[in-house]
Amino acid sequence: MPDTQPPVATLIKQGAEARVYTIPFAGRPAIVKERFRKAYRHPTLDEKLTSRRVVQEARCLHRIRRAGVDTPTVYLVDLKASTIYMEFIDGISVRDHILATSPLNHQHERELATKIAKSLGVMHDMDIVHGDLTTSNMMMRAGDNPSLVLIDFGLSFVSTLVEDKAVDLYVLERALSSTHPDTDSFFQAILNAYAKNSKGGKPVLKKLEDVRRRGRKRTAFG
Amino acid sequence: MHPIPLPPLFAPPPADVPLATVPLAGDGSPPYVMYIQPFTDVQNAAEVKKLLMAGDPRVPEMTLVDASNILDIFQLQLACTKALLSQRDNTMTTRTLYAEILFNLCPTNKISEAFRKFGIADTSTAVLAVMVGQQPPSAEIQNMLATLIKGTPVGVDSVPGLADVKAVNKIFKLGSGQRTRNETLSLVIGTMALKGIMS
Ligand SMILES: Nc1ncnc2c1ncn2[C@@H]1O[C@H](COP(=O)(O)OP(=O)(O)O)[C@@H](O)[C@H]1O
Ligand SMILES: [Mg+2]
Repeated sequence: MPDTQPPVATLIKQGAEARVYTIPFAGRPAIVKERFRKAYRHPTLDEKLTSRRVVQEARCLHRIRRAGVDTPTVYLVDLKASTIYMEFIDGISVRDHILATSPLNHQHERELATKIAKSLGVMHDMDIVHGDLTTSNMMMRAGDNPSLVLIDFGLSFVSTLVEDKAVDLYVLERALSSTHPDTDSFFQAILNAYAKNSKGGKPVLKKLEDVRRRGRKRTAFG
Repeated sequence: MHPIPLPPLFAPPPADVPLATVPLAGDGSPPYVMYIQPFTDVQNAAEVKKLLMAGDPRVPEMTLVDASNILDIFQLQLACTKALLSQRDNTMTTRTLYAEILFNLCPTNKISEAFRKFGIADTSTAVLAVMVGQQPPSAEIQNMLATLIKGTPVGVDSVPGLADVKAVNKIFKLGSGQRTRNETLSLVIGTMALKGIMS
């Protein structure tokens, strides 16, 4: 960007809780994610809740990255402005990738499923629950043998409960089947790899059966 | 000294005003810039440190960083930016902006440790002089610096080569796993960003 142009942040996603902008950041492509306040909440209470969410999101991003799972590097946290500055991931969402390449061939499907499962396995073994596992919240870095990047820890939390981890997987299953038809075998491949690659995987998968049963009931009756 | 821009801070617009682009130049005042001068073959680190600690008038206001724990000037840029942010919010841990910069470089919350591990030491041979301002340091200040430090002024590009990756791994408790330098830098940057809000 030439020096004469005043720098700007450019909105790329307006969500219900947060806005995401790309921003020039000392020569590195970056994004800034701003969690905005809820007008209907009491201002001081809201400030506390918002900054707790911001801290939680940044912490989870960083803890998982340290454990070897690819996430955007956190550059800076501004609690007053409820913003997180982080590395811009040059790549595409798993969602767009699947839409662009469907049907996935068998080998490719297995590779992608294994990458996803490994990341989720490490995350769950650290007792971190993502809270919003969709294919939009997973990215693949550009380039050969792209690394899988988990993003959007805005709803993440720490939990040792098998149930919470099972619900995490269930959310992913529902998200997959609603955005991508015919992905049953893909999800099954994720589960198989998850069982193999995470320490606490087996009980989580067992619990997933219960969660699915309850989920089906809920949809059937309500 | 070499001017290095600092990342601009983002002031969120009101929640009910969704702007497609948000200007970052803020209040119209000139942006803060980091001015850095690396020195190698420094021969009088102990003496410089003594003068610095004594607040000697021959020492300009600045942070003097031992180069061995700096993988990339990005670490310094973020330490400066964070210090300016804390100054804005009145949440500085130390008493001056320049002490705060040193504090921000260190993963732990002990000021003395930050000085010991990141500040100039008696044995330092490569040193980075860092200043922050809205305009460049005056010729007078630059002369003071050149007179103070007996060493070879070098370009900013030499900074990565002055680092000791092993020492960085140790200070940031990164273990000794195989990792690219970029990955190490990412973990360092993330750890700095999360300092004070990690647990
Ligand atoms: N670090 C990043 N690099 C590149 N794109 C990102 C990054 N973080 C977010 N995005 C993009 O912005 C979108 C919204 O960000 P996200 O963190 O998922 O917020 P939300 O809570 O609104 O879903 C993502 O789906 C992705 O397309
Ligand atoms: Mg999202």
